[in-house]
Amino acid sequence: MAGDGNTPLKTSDDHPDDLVLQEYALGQSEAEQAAEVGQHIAQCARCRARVEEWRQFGERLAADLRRDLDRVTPAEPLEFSRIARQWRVPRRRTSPATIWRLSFPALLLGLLLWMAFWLVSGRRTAALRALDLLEDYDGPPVVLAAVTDRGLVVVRLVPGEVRLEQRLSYVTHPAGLQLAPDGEWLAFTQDRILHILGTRAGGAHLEIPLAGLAGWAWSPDGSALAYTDGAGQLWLFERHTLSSRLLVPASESAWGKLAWNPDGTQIAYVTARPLPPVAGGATHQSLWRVDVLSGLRVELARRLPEAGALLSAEAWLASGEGLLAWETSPADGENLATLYQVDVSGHLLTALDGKVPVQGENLSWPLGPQARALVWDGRNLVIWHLQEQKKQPLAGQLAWPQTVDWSADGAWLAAVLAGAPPGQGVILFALEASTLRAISLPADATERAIFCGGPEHLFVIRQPQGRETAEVWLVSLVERAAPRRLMSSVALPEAGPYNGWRWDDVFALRVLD
Amino acid sequence: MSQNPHVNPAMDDLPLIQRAIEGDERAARQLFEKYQLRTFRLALGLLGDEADAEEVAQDALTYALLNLRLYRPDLSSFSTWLHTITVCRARDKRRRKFLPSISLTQWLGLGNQIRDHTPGPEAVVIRNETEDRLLWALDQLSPKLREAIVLRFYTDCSYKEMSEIMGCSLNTVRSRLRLAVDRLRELLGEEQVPWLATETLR
Repeated sequence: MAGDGNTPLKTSDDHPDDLVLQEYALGQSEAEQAAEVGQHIAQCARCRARVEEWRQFGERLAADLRRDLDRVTPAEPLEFSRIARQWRVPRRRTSPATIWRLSFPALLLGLLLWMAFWLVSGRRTAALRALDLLEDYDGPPVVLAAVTDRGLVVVRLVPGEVRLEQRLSYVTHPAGLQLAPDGEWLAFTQDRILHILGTRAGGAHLEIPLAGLAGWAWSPDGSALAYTDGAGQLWLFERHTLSSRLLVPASESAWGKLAWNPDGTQIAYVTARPLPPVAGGATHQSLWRVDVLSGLRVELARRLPEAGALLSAEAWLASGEGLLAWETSPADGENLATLYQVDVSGHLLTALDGKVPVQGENLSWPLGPQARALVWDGRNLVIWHLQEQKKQPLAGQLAWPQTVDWSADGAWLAAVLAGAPPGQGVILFALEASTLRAISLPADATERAIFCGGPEHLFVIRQPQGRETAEVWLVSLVERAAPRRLMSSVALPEAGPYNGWRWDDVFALRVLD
Repeated sequence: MSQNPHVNPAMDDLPLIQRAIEGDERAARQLFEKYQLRTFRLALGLLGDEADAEEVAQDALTYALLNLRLYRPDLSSFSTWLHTITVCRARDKRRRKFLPSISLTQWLGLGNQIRDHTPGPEAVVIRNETEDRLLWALDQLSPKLREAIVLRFYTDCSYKEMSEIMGCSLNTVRSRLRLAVDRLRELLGEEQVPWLATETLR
C-alpha cells in the first residue's frame, strides 16, 4: 500500500494498479508513491507505455477542452450591476434566528390582539369601514382596484351593492394596475413579480417572477395577458389554462409595453438590444408584430440607435391596418413623447406633429377611441383625429391637463387641470360642438385624476386639504344629483413631471358592460 | 480573451476579498471581473449550453460575492470555493431542466460560437477523425463523470481540490476519473489510442 494508504500500489503480477499509474501520469501521486512508480517504470516497458498513454490522453483532452471553451464569451455580458444593487443594501447584523427569538413574544401578543379584534369586528367589515365605502351606490357597474393604507383592495360596485372582493395587505407598492376588459382579472407587478389576480372573492392568484423591466396588456376580450419578462421574452398567459406560453424567445430582446390589435390576433412589441436599462444610451430598436396563433413575427419599423431614445407601441387603429407608437428622446427631456403612425402593410413610420407628456412607461394623456389624441404642438393643445388626419384646436386657453380620460365613444374628453383651485379642476370638452364645460365640486379637496365611467358618470380622485391620501368621488353628468364620495384612504402615487402622477400604480377602474 | 482560466488564483485575492467583506464595492467588482469568464466557461464545460452557463455563472458569482463572509481562506483557495458554488449551481440547473447534458458536439455544430477553428480542408478531415469524436464521447458521459473530466482537464484542479468541489472522497475522485477516462476510451475505440498495443511489451 502507498500514497494515502487506500490505493494499492501493486497488482498481483507485480505491476502498479492502473489507478496508481493514472495518478502518476497526471502528476497527482504523493511523493513517496511517485518515487516508487518512477523506479518501476524505469524497468517496465508495459507500465511505461501505460503512463505515457495516460499522459498523452490527458494532454490531448485538456488541449481540446481549453481550445474550445476558451474562445467562448457570454452572448450577454454577465452583470455586476445585479450584485451591486444588493451590495448596497445594508447588511443584516442579527441572524434571523435571533430576531425570531427576540420578537416572538411581541408577535404572539400582537397575534392575540389581532385575533380578538378580528372576532369582534370581522375582517371585511373593518376593511370596509376604513375605506368608508358608499353604501347606496347608484352609479354604473364597475370594478376598481386601489392601493389603500390597508393594502390593495378590489371592490365591485353595482347599483345598490358594494362588495369588497379582494384585499391583499402585503401589496403596498405595486405598479401598473391593469384590469381585464371584463373586470374579472387584475394584473400588476410588485418587487419583480407579475401578479395575476382573479377579482372575485377567493379568486385565483398567480405570481410570475420577472427578470427586469416588464410590460403587460390584456387582450381585447380579456382571455389572455401578454407580457414581457425583462429578459427579452414575450409570453402569453391564457386564462383558460392558467399558464403561460412563450411567443417570442429571449434572443429577440422583446421588452416594454405591448399593444393588441382590435381582434386580438396580433401583438405589437418593441425589441431593443441591449435591453434597457443596461443600454444606458444607444439601443437598436425595432417595432414588431407577432401573430398570436402561429407565432409568426414581422418587423414593422426600425429605429436608428439614437442615444437614449426609447420606443413604445401604444395602440392599434380600429381598422387593424395601422398602429400608434411613441418615442421619448433626451432632446425632449425624456418626458415628452413624439407620436408615430405606423403603416402595418407599408412598414412606414410617420411622425405626427406635437408632443405628449409621459409618466413612467405610459402616456399622461392616453389615446382616445377612434384614434384621437390630445397633443401639445408647442404653443397650444390640439386634438389629433388620426383616422381623418385632421387637427382640432382646444377651445380657449386651457391650463396644462395633468390627467385625461376619454368617453367610450370618443365624443368628449375629461381632464383635470394642473394648478386649478380646489373644486374647480375638472373640465369636459365636447369634440363635435367644440365646447368646454366646467364641473364644480366641493372646495375642500384638490382634483388629481379622472376616469370616465360610461356616458353619464365621472370618477374623480381628489386629495382633501392637508391629507396624504385621496378619495374617489362619483359625479353624475346628467342628473342634478350632488357629487358623492365613493371611498377614502386611496394612496397617492409617485408624482411625475409636468404636474403628472403615476395613477396606474395605485388605481384602476373598469366599467362593466 | 485576456484572462487565463488555468492560472491558479494566487493569494493576492485575499486583500481584495477582505476589502470586499468590509464593504468596498470596487474590490467586489475587481473579483467579479477577474472570475467572470472562467466561471462562465467552467459552467459551459459542465452544462454544454451557453444560455444555461450564463445563468449559472451569474448566480454563482452573485452568491459568492454577496456571501464572502462564508469563504474560509484556510480551507481552500477562492477559486476552489467559487468552483464549488458553480458546480452546485450547475447541478441544480441540470436537475431543474430534467434533461441530460446537451450534446456539446451538437451545440458546437449548431452555434459555431466555439468551434471557429478555421482549419484548412485537410485539417478538417483529420480533425473529424479525432477531436470531434473526442467531444462527442465527452457528451456521452454522465454528469458526475463529466464534472470529473472538466475539473481535472479544463480547470486543472488537483485531486484534493476536486474532492472538495465535488463533495466526495479522494478515492471517489480517483474512481470517477478512472471511469470517465475508461468510458471515453471505450467510446473512442482502440484506434484513438494506438499505444495500447504495447500491452504485450515487458
